[in-house]
Amino acid sequence: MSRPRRAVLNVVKSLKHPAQPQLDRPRLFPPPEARTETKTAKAPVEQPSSSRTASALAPDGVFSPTVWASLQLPSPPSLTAFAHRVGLANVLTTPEAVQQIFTHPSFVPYFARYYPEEKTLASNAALSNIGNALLGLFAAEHLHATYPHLPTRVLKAAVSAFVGPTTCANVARSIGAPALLRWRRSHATLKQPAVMLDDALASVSRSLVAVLYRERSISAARAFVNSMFLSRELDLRNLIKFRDPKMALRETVEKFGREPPKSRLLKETGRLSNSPIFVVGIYSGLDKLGEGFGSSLKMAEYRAAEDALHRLYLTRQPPHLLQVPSSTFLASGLDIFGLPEEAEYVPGAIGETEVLYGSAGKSGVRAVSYRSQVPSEVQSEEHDKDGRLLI
Amino acid sequence: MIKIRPLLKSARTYATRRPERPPLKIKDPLMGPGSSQHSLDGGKFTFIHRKPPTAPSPHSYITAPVSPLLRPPSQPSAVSSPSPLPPLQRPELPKHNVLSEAQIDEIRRLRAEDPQKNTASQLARQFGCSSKFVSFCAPLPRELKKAALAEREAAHVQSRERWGEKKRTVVAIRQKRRSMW
Repeated sequence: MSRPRRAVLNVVKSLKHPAQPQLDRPRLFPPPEARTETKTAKAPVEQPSSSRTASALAPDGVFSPTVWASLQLPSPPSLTAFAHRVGLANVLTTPEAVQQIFTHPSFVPYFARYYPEEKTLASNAALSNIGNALLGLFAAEHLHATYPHLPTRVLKAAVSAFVGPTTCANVARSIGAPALLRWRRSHATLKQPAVMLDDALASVSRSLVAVLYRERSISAARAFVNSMFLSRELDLRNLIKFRDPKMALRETVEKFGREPPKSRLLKETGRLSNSPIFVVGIYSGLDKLGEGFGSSLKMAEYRAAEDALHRLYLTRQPPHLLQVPSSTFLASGLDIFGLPEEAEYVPGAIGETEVLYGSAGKSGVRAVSYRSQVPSEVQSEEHDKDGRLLI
Repeated sequence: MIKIRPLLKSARTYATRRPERPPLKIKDPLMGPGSSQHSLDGGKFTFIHRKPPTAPSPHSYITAPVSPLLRPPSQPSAVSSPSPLPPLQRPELPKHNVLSEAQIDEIRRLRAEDPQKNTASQLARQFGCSSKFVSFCAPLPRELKKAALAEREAAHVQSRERWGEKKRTVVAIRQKRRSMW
């Protein structure tokens, strides 16, 4: 339908400005060399563009524009622009290096099927693997050093939230990866899992981390992960769920060797109205462990128990004192067991493990923290030269 | 001619004050006891700190943890009498008497003998302890426990079938509220 309209336009234009030459000839798609079957046999090797268009023919000789479009690799200027956009122009120096990051392994056999004479594309499978391992390492040690008292299952959930497949895909979207990504969708088979867009996008951000590790150092990779992944906002309270927070608190307080928790009513209003508010505090002896509000006494007590456990689990290391174990690896070179010249590594506090349920009373030796045992008058609060508390 | 207007006994000649609600006496939270002022730099600046009215955040640093479990327990100071603690939400339960080993063995024997007659509550009354303690000391074997739970569940299902629309709605609302605690 567009062709007749264009012809009319051209006629109108020529009538308006008869002296001007006609520059916008209607351009036909697909290119003429693709429209006949005989062209495939005659296509010479030194004309890659025409051979590409020519070989985008299905075996039965019918040209498919969608197949042709999906086989087009990203242009070198766009790849270079990406490298500059991410701030890694000095690391990703050639368009081929960037191309590898954006080639998902599902695309390689698909491309080879239509262009068998072309060089096999390098995929990001190995890079993605290494990058995934590095992301897991950095996130786990960062979270463990930041929140020493966090329960294991919450730590695992937080690591998934920070560097999991969905997050990796979202980070890739934020840096403009979908336009440059080359992949092929596939359903799950007995041998392989399904390949969806999120999986392909996640491989891009993982590959970036691996490239930084390979080209520069583990410190550079860690700095990249800190700025792109670990600086994201996440409220850990949503990941800490309890089946019975009062029971969990009772067992935790027993583990710390304190008096059993007792709930006390701090404030209340409108008890007999249709919208009462109660504020309940849970005390262990004279210490208030947690506080909660609710429209019923039970609800307020439930929230107070949750708050008491949140206060314990979400105690974090100050950011300026945070040190992770992988910082002890040498910045460059193959020998990672030498000591770096930077400041000595001071390990963070070891937190109390969380109570375990269903362990038939065999949840281990009661590990009471030193500070909770010794009264404050006897214990001397010593600080080292950097102001950190010595246990 | 002078018109004499008869006095209307029911009409008053002065305005009355309608009973009004007294004005609300809400204390300004910014001027309350949670506010403190400090002069800095020799009086050039005033640092005003106002305690937020909301509940304290659970986030804290290791160097100053907000959880008392990570600090030594506070001792009752004999010098100054502290303010009394808020009242307990539920009264202290009476302490049950401590049973000897022989009594616990007897409980186990009776329960194994006839769980239908010697129920947990019946044994609790007999020995002067709580029924939870009896269930803890002398639990039923797995098959019998499953059978008892199934019987109880069947009775509950039967009573739930007799509920009307309103009862079902109220219970559903309550369950939804409970899930959002």
